[in-house]
Amino acid sequence: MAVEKEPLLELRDVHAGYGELSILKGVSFGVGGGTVTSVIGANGAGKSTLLKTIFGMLKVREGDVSFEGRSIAALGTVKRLKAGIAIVPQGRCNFPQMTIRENLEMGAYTRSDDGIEADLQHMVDQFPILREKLHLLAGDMSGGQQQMLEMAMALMVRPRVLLLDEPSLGLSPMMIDEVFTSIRSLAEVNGMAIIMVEQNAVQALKISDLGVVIELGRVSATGTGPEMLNDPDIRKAYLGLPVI
Amino acid sequence: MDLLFTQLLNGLTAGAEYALVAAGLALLFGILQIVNFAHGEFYMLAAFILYVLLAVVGLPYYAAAPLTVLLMACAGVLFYAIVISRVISRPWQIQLISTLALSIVMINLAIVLSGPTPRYVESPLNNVILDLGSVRISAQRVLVLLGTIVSFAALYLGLKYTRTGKAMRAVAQNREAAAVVGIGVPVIGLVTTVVAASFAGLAGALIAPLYAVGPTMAVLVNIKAFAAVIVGGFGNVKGAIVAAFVIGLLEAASTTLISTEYTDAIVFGGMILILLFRPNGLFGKAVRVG
Ligand SMILES: Nc1ncnc2c1ncn2[C@@H]1O[C@H](COP(=O)(O)OP(=O)(O)O)[C@@H](O)[C@H]1O
Ligand SMILES: [Mg+2]
Repeated sequence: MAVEKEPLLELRDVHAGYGELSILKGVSFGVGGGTVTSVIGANGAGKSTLLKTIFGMLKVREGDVSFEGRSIAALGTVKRLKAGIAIVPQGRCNFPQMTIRENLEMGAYTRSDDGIEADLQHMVDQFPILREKLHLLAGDMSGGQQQMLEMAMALMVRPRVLLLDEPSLGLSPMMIDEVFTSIRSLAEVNGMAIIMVEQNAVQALKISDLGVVIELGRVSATGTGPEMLNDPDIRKAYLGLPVI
Repeated sequence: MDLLFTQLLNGLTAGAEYALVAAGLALLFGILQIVNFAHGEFYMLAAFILYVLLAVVGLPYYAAAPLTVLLMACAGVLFYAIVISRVISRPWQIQLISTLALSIVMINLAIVLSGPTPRYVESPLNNVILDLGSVRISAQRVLVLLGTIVSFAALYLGLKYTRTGKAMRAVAQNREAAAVVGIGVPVIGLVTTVVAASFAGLAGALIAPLYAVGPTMAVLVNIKAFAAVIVGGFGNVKGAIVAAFVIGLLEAASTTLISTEYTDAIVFGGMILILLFRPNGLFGKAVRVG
């Protein structure tokens, strides 16, 4: 689990918020290709806001976000998607009255190359449950299956950076293991940088190269996965584990 | 037999009128979640545009009718820029007041500019009577029915198969997910508004030669189009179109079998009855356009 030297995505003193409300008050960290990063923190700390800001749904008000060495702070979501940044937000994020196939095609909406069908086939190889239901409506699938679909839709972008907001929410323990395993292998095999927000912090940190703790809109601690899992303060405050 | 056929034809013509207006209302509601109280007035505006192009500019009908649709598409761009884009992410009360205000302004502008006397629009097809054995039908009515069928087929195919059509359905089903896959929601808002205004334009271009044109010509039509949208399942375009034709045919049937005086009571009574048993409309509440 080596962290690359040159970060693929870097945040420097990022400020963002909603209207008058300032939520992120100076967030800095960097992630390399082929790594998994877990963002943890209390409810309302600004974790989802952080992902939305990286994706471009919220403006960077101060500071900078750079991708492959270039600033993307001024780019909108469409340009960021085309550059290779995709998100699976919290909550249902598919088109319930379209088939699984149509949903996957919509995932590739910003692409115009001719590799879309091949990627779609590749995706249903990776998620066999989707192949079986390719012609059924997304809204008729179970919550866990829809979660899989949404991940596959984001992968149709061929992202270099994948942002996941609570990917394990509402899944059964068995499916959670499965999702975390595929997140790890996506990063290693495809060289993606995956940044995920997780309530399931212990399990998330176990497969992570980097852990970032957000507290009141600021980074209060960072470390490798094992460092975080062994840090007494973090164990007590965020992991619900006994202090060793 | 003749009477039955004539009334069937009247019902289908009225149904086409309601359906062309209702389709735009359902698109605006289904995709952008906007209730456009001014939509009937777009139909009225289109009828006046056709009148001006024919009677003032002196164009032939074959040129004036398509130009009317084109100008209404442009009116759709203005409507988007001036009203929709400013209220689309505001609370529904603001949307309601602004489209209602536009409707009132348009009706009163029409009264000021044209006066209360109805105008008549001439189409050469009014005088071409097709003889189908025992029944006779004006070519204009044939054009109304053909134009309506062709335009709805185009709408269906466009929504189902084109990239923009798919994006419109995507915005209807989940606006956040649409933004996440990179669909420009404002662009889809503009396209939807232009398509809706063009259908009102088509209604004016096709149907104005059959009825009198005046400032309040669309008030009752708009109410019936709203009824069709509600009965069809709010935001369900197919449902709204089917319901509009049902309303048109029901009107014709009650005019023939009972009396003209009871027509509106029967139609709206039927609507209340349907909603009592199917509160989400005939075709479900799903925001569905394909
Ligand atoms: N759309 C919004 N408008 C205004 N405030 C918001 C919005 N979304 C989130 N917030 C506020 O921003 C803060 C951080 O929210 P969020 O980033 O969702 O937290 P987390 O994901 O860490 O639980 C919270 O106080 C929340 O109430
Ligand atoms: Mg959150």
